[in-house]
Amino acid sequence: MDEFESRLKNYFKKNIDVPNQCKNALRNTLYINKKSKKNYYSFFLRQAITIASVGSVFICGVAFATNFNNIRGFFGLGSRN
Amino acid sequence: MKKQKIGDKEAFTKIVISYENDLYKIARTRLQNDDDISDVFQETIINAFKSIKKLKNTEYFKTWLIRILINNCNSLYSKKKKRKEFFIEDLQEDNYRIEDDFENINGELSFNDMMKILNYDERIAMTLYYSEGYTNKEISKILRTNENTIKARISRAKLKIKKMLREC
Repeated sequence: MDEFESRLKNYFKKNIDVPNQCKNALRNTLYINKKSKKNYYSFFLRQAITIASVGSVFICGVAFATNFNNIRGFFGLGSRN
Repeated sequence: MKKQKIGDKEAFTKIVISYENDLYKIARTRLQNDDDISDVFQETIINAFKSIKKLKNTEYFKTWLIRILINNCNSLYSKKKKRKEFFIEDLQEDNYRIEDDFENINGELSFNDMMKILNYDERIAMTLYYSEGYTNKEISKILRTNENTIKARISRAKLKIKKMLREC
């Protein structure tokens, strides 16, 4: 290995200061991620509530459309026929 | 290094911390901002820990981790580029200016000086070759590029550094 090669190796091998924020990112990420698992549950719960509410509106809509006459009766409007 | 050992959260963190300096150098070849590097580190660790079971041979853990890091750096870089959040250094990347300030002008260059002289392809190839000690073949696998391209990048980078050292 010539002198230039060994100089190059030294330049690149030399340790550089890793900023604290990067060090913390390496050290704490997995532990922070553990805490954020709880958020996953609340996320899924929110999704479930949204799907359920949209679903119930849809079912009510279908029921309303198919049993239109019955619903008119329910409100005291009498049958259309 | 056993797979079970890496699969354990604490052990995994310890191993990753031991590569701290190397990972930072590799990330610096692509990103200039420490906030971005922290974000990429977080993403890399989460991705790596989640998919550790997919790693067949734990001997290649470091190489595998570096591959994930490079992918994450590249995707953040392209996202920023799309949003036109350019870094001044990136704009200067291809037209390097001789009058840039160097940390040490006594014929010695530091890692940061190298980052200023070389473009991304040369920076990453040189870092993996000299800092990590990978062979051209291994680098070509990590970067998914032809081995001859890596050789050419390294020799081009060497010429640039030689020229710079003569001018110092």
